[in-house]
Amino acid sequence: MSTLQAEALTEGKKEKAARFPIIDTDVHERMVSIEDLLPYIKEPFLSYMKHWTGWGELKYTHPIGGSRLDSLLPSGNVPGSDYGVLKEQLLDKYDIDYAILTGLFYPATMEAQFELAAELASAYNEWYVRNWLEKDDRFLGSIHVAPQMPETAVREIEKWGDHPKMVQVLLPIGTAPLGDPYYHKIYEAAQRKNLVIGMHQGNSVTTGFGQPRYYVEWHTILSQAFMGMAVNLILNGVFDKYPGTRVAMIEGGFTWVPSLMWRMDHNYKSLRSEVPWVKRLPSEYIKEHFRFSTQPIEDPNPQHMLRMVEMMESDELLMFSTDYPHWDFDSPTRSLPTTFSAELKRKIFYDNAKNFYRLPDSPKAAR
Amino acid sequence: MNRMVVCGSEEMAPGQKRAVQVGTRSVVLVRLGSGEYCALMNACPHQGAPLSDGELTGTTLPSTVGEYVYGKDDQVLRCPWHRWEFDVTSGQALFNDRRACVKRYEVTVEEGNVVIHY
Repeated sequence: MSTLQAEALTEGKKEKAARFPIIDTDVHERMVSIEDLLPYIKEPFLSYMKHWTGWGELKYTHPIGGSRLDSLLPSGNVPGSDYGVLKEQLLDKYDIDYAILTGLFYPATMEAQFELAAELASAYNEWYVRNWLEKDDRFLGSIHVAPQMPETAVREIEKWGDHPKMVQVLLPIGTAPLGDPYYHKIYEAAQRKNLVIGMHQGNSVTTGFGQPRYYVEWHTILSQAFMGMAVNLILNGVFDKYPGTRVAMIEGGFTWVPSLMWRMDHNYKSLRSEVPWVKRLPSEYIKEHFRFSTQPIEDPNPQHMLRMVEMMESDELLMFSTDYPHWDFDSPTRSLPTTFSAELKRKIFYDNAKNFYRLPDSPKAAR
Repeated sequence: MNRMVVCGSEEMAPGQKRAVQVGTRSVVLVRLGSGEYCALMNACPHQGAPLSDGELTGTTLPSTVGEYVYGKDDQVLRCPWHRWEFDVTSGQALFNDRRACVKRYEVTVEEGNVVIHY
């Protein structure tokens, strides 16, 4: 026993013998794991606990599980973490020509410790390029950055921007208004490297009244954040300043696009003087600079869905996506409405993304 | 083409506007800071509000992000309802939509009178 330890013990004895009785009002006992609670939890919440991921960024425990049940891995590892299974269930099964990887690890939406966020994004790039991107010719990549640190994000874009498989910079939507001039150098770098900006919701995204009480509410209404971001980017002048900027809105829906174009034009006509750097009608920026992924495509009267595309006044704004392996996956063979013509489907499945991401023809399409 | 004297050439000070009846139509007559006159149909193409009730003003010109450049002083007529802005020298809206345009009338000053041609 060292002298120090001995002294500490002696000290302890002294404290035990203190003359005052003591009430400690803050002592933390802990469970070994959440499983300790399972015997005490009743249905339907016991089923929720199969999907418990702790109090992370996502404020909800998924009520039905966040992934397709057939994507669950025997190892217990996270669905989507096994290349062989993904290849079989998605790439080979549906004969996918290109699959753009978007990950689901988004330090970009961390609201504190931005240096750590930048380090994590950088580490993720290193890891996934080696372990995923370069594993299959069909994979294309997104550069993960921490927009909270714009200069660092620019360096990350410069580091990976010339990688032949990188097609976009991923800026997940959290609570930050990414059209703000604070972030503009990121768009400059993306434009310089000829990369699309991919925007996918992050788990921390909120709605107009913050965090709604149920997951189903949140998942329904998170498209608000995409609308807000489109408005924010356009009216803060990103496209006037960097005309080469292209933004892919991923998983945020698209049936709101006609309404947003109308509403933004309507307001702009009255309030243009507040944002004089915006030189054209906002709807024109949407049509020229934005594309929208299809999943999760809603399932209304198929005629109505066709009309919705007509109201977008362009058949070039939609790009197909599955969202594999998530619970709301859209099948390449069953999700687009029957009213969509073969020509429209061809554009949604292939041409629009090929043109927007400026991809070479896939080997199959070139045949 | 018809012509009509609507007022004396010094009745209006620069920066003023007024509605004048020209035949069957109402026209908004504007005197620019330079002293020249412009005339537009007195109805906004949006929802028909009388532009003569609006504000004759300047506005922010196209600029770079975060920069405000004020100009076209007393050359912009702002509709009283939704505040669409029109350049009175062209009738064109300040936002970039060629369809948003107010009909312009030729105005001349002849022998001390302001004459609108219609």
